[in-house]
Amino acid sequence: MDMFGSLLNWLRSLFWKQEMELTLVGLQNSGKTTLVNVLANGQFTDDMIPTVGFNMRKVTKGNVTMKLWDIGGQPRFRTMWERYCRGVNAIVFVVDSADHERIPHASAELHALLEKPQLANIPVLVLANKNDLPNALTADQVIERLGLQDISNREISCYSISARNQVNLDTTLNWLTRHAESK
Amino acid sequence: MMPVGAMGGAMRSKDEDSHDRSRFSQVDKYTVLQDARVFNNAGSDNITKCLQVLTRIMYLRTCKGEAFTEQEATNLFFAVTKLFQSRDVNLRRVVYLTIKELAPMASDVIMITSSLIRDVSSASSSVDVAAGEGAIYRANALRALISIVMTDPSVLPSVERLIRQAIVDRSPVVSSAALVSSLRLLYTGGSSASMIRETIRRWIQEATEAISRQSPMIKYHAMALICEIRSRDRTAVLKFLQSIMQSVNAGFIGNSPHATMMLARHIGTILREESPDSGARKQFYPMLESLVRYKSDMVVLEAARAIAALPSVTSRELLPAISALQQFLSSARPLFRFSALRTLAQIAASHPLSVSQCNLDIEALVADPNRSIATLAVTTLLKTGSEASVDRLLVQVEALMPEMPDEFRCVLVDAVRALFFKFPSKQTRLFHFLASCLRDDGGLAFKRSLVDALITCAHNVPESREFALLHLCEFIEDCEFPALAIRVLNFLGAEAPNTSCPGKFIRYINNRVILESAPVRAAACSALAKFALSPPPSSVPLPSAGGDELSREDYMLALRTARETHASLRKSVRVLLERCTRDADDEVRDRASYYCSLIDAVMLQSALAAGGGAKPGAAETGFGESDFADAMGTPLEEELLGYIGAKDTIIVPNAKDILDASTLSPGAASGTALSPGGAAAGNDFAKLADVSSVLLSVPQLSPYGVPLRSSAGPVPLTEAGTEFSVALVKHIYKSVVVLQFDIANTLAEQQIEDVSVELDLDQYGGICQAELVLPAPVIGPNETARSFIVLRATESVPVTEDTVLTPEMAAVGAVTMPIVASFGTHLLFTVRDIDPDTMEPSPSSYTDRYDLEPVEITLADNMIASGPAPPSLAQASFRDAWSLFNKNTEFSETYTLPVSAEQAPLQALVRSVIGLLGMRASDGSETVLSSPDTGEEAHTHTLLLSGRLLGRQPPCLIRVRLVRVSADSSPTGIPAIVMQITVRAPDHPTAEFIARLIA
Repeated sequence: MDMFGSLLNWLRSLFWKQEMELTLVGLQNSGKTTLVNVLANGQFTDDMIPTVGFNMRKVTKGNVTMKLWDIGGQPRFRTMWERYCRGVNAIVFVVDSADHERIPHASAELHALLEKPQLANIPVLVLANKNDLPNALTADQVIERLGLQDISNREISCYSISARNQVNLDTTLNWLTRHAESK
Repeated sequence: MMPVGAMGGAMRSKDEDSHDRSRFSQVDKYTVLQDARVFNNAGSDNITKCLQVLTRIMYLRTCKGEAFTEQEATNLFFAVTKLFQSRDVNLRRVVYLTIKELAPMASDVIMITSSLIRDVSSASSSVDVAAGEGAIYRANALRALISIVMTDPSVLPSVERLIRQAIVDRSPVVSSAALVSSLRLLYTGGSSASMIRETIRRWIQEATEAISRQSPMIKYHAMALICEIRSRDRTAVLKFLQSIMQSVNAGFIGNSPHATMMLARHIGTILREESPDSGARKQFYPMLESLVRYKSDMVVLEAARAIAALPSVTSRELLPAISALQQFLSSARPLFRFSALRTLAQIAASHPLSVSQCNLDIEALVADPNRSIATLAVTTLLKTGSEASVDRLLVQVEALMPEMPDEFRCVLVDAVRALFFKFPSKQTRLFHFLASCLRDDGGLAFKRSLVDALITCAHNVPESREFALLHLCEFIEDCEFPALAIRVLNFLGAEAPNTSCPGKFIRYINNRVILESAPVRAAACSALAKFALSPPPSSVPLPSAGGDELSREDYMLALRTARETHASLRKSVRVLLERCTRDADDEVRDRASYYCSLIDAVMLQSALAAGGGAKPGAAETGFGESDFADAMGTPLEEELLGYIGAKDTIIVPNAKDILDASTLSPGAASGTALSPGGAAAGNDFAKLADVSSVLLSVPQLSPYGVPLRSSAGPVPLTEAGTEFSVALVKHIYKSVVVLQFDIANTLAEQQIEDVSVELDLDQYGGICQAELVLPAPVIGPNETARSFIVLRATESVPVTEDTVLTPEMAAVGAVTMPIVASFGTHLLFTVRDIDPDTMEPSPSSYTDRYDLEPVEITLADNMIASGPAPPSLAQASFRDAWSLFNKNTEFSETYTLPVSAEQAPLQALVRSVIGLLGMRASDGSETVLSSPDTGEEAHTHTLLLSGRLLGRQPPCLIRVRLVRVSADSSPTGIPAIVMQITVRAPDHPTAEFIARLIA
């Protein structure tokens, strides 16, 4: 925790006067809202209710501002992902790496989303969440199961993280801030 | 300096106003839709711009009512959701408003739910609100959230907990918003309405908790919600009001005038459905009485209104309300004056005496600058005022009338109409008032109420009839409403022929034939025809008592002149109608041709009568002709009604057929062939109009249409000189029988209420049921009123295979037989004594019953004596018609009637059978032959009868064979008459029905 806190402070000073807009999508129960909460105030909550629609969180600490559009993952909202992905600095696609059964669904949704012409060239970060759970897939397994290696027309990365244990969040932030724009 | 500066300031702000307005006048939808793109990156630098665009959207929606397509609204809505990235409080406030506006039009609005839930839970986490101001944003977010739930009720379960918490939120603003939003949600219709109602029903605990909060506003809103939740459950509302009432004195809702007002209103609603002596009335009335003395004006007004609307409210109960309302009449605020006066006007309609204590205050309001108040004041005074003030009021009304809206003018006309009957001495004055109003400009409603008033008055005051007719004639000269012109023309047709000089009306009517549209022309044709078809005058008005006594010769001369005038009028009308036969419109031509042939027939008949009437006295009585008119009235009326009734199968017999089918045979002129039933139906037009105007005045009877026949004149069901006199008129409709009871209360010191006639319908095993009973509400001493019963036959005869179907039977699959029965009858009523000094009815009453003569509906009531063949066939003899019938439908039965005396005449039996059936005897079979030598009656006789059931086309034929059996040859040893009845009807059930009736 201390480690992370100091790292965050270090990052803050590093990305002075920077602003970015991100959209978090992914199937329901993959941990998007939880991740946003952890990023916003470092608190992990277990009993989340499904997001009906979207949550907008602005994480402003020091001079770094991240606008996080956290969109509901239930099927009825998936058609609206595109609306909120247009023109953002990066799309964050969260996958529950322990839910093997639904990985194919996630793959289908991701590829469908990335086919939208409006979203061409926007960098994508795939986060294989919940790596604290047993049977969680590794980053490489997720890359393979999601067919990320076939995506060649844009920048795409994949990290294995845990919002609960705050594993790999610093790497994530690192990746994200690299895609921020100077103001 | 100061004034100048102040003025400068004022002018500048005016400039800004107009500047703002011009800025908005440029706003159009497409620019706004373009501008909405700015929402996508709402930073701190363009908040002002975003606010402007939102304001324009709101302006377009709410001020200009601009319509957005679903696509446009959805795009706009999603653009607006992007604004949640800004934490600006002002922006967020307008965002909530815009969401509420767009939610019903856009799709996928559910998208905003989570964000709104978050705002409701804690406004400060997403908006930069100052400390303590968060509640207002949470409240507004909640309202926006409810708009989303209203468009997509599937969200409700996920926000239910949130709303319940909000209802009991510490902040009054949030709590109120939650209560009001829940109420709004309850009113949502659509497929999920019951799901929503079920959900909200569970919130009653929270609402009840809210009602005990300090804030008056919350109390009011919580009360409204609870009452609405329980609105489907009377007992629950009752219990709730009781619990509130018990705590009112403890100040439970005492500090909230709105909640107290609501209490008064709901008590009023509950009591409106309770009887005057119910427990609830006793329990709640004292509450209302105390509320009219409440410190808040609005509570007093509401409580007074609730008292005024109580069912059968007594003068004593009204007293506190009237005193309270009287206070408001002198209020400085027009709203209070109006409200109080409106309630008083309402009370005045039923209790004019009670309101008269306010007359002085109301008179002061006649000159009120507010026109609505002035009008109400006048109408109220017209109800409460004394006879002496009528003239003065009318002058004021005339002054107010031209500028009043039609709605008020109708009210005034109704009030004047009521006065007309209240103060007979003022009738002339009032009549002139109504007539002069007819000349004013006005809409259909106003003119209709005037025409109605004039027609009603003319009906009731015969002296005024001619005057009214002339005014109505003048009115239709320039009437822009065809419906009214038709109504007036019908009235003219019914009434004008009976006036002393019918000729002067012809011109007015004929003008309509020339100038108006087709429906009016058709009505004018009918009206004209009625002049020609009216019977010639049988008497002339006698000179007034003061004049010299008219000698018989002079009288005869006058009568002859009158008749000659009538005959020439008939000719002139014939000429006018002849012209109409070349009209461009089908209906007008049809009517004109029809009436022309009728008139020709009538003229031919009078010519015959005149030719054959050489006998002295024949012309004097005019017997032959008027009787002829009566006789021919029957089939004509029947055919016309049948024509109106039979919409699908239009049978338009020509006039000649009807005349053939009618009783033109020489025997008919003497009236013997007309059975009592037939004679009863022999109404002339005027009488028909009279009867139907009685029925038309009862709106509940209008669904049944026009009676096929009404019995002649009221038949008394009581002996003369008893306490009540009741007389019966039977109206036979196509599917029901309406019994009209004219009930007169001959007692001086009692009024009877809720007067109805009860029939012992069970007697006949329920062949029919009373579908509708219309009691007479109140009959004062020496007054007469009417009560009605609508009977519908229940017995249907199922159709069997061998039944020969008529088209109408085939349509319904069964036949309902006419009602033929005799019912034991008694009068049911509530008696209330009247104090002979004050003329006030006493508060106590008791119910009573009074036995009447039985009501008899005979087959004759349902039967038309007609020729043996359908009108479409040429004249056929009875035997021809008989053989034409399908034998399958025949029904035959033989009875043996024991007779006491050897000499019981067959003739009497024949006569009673004819009377019972109301049919026509054919081939002279109504007379039993007797030996020319001894005068002794023949021992056998065959009676041949024909007639048609009302509303049915083909005739029924009956053959009755009578054989006298002497005591010696009778098996029983007593003399008897053997009667064999054979009925041939269009269908078997009808045949059997008729045959059984004779037995």
